Amino acid sequence: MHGVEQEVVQGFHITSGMMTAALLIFLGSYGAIISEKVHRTIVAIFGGALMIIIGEVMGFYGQHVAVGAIDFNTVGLLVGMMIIVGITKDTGIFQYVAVRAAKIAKGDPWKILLMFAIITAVFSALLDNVTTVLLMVPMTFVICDNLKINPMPFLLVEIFMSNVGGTATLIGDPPNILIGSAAGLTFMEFVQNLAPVVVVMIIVLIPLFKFWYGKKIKTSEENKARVMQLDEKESIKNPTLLKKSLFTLTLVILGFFFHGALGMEAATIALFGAGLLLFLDGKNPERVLEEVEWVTIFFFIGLFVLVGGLEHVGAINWAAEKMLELTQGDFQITSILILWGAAFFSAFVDNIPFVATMIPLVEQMNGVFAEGLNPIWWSLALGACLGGNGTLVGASANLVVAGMAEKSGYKIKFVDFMKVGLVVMVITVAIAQIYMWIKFY
Amino acid sequence: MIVKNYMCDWVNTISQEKTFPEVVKQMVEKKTNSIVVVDKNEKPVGMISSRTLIKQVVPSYLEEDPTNSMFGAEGTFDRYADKLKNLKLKDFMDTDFHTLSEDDAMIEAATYALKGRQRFMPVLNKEEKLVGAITRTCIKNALHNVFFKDNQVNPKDNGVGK
Repeated sequence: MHGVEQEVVQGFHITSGMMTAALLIFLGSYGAIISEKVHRTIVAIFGGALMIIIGEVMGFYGQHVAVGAIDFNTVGLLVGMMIIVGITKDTGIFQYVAVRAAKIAKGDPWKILLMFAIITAVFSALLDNVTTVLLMVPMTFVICDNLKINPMPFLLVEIFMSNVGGTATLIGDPPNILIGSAAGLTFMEFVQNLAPVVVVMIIVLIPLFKFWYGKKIKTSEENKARVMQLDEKESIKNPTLLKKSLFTLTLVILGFFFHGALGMEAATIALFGAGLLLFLDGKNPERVLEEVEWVTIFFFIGLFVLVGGLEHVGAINWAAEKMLELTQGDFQITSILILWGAAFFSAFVDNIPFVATMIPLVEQMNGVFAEGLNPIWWSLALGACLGGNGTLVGASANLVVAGMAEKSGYKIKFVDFMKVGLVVMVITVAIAQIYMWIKFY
Repeated sequence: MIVKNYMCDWVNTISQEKTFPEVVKQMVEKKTNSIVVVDKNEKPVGMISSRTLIKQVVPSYLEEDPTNSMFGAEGTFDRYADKLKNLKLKDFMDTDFHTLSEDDAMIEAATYALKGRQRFMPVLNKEEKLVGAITRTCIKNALHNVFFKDNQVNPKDNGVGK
């Protein structure tokens, strides 16, 4: 890190002491998040506050700057969507969809698996992955109980599809929200650039799932008949609220498609939808606001503050220079390195802090490539989202499913998951690589 | 108005080494909805209520959103109950519970009965020994005796099965 002593960032001299202190706080926090000994949100808040205090004392960071580092577009988008989903899920629509799908499949386990895989991918593109699996997994258990089959193939396929489906849109997976917000990429740009390749990935994965699980999920005609007797209409408890929720959701999704053209941030659309649905529901907002995952929101806030400190001390700039030295400023090599690097990194550690750190690093590359920065953003998004399938700890949704499965008597083992997860990851990232090659190289 | 005057003098207890089926059996036989779990020295270390038992049998995927249970398969209840047959009390009893001492004011008992889900509060003497319990019925009896001084109910008649 020699040579940075003389660097001047925003009017102050960076010393190696400042750089070391910021790096120690950042890497210490990162290590603590990876170790999972302390809750990641606690680490992010504590690390963020420590970065501000040390930054104030040493003169490279401060509260005012730290608040500026928080991406309120990401925060607003997450909160808005959590409120909308929090109200909508009480209408029973998700149970309705699951039972209806099982009946359309005539109770046939493989066809139900296929339907659930596609529903998971679509929901995951329009909602975040954790919400999607929280909605899908309980009904998966219920349907598998009725069919008297092992739910494990369903759980694994839903994990894979939530991560693949979430890759398709701006709001599908937290890395995309972070990237879209920082790079100013619209929902439509995500759909145009990522959704087609995601569809190809799903088409390629389905025969693989059939090969792996097709023979393991057989049931009797009697059990199929039991599923056909379920009445999906029973789950719709409040048809009026359902109409209001579907109206708002449609409006919000349309808003996402046109937010770029309208010149509005995605958060504005999501928060407008949240406000509208709260207004239409007209009930006490306390219960709905309790459903917002504040633990996740504060994790993001802490991370932004932490990464902001690192950025202000010039460490990100330094890392970007080193990376460009490594790739010799070559666009293709940089894109390939980011795609595969992000995938393997995200397979083993939380992809949210990784992407939050990579964003300012990629921003530093602005003006370096004739092709522009967008293909690099797509490489990062594809790698970080698809890498989540590599291992059980690769994405929050994986851990949420594993937790629900364990409580219900089905343990998803780390190694067993990795054996199939890594295959899914490598196949999908390879498809992403071919796509990048055809479209951008 | 203090706890000592309104508590029941006897409490159903069970060892923390016992299993799920054993506590179900004892609670059914004693016709009680709450039982105090004690260690070897008869010190209260946990509580089991009917709610605690039900919480164990309902899988979390149904508890999160009860709408899912509308489509629950026949036999699911038995299957999940069967998984509990070797579960020790110490592994699922409620350990976060409020205890009272004999000299505590009834307002403390009433306040804690209102807060949280605890329907039953063990009462300890100065030596930390279990000497009784306060139920919601005890509090109801105390209320009755505030209003009807000429027609006092037996404060000990608190509905806890012997």
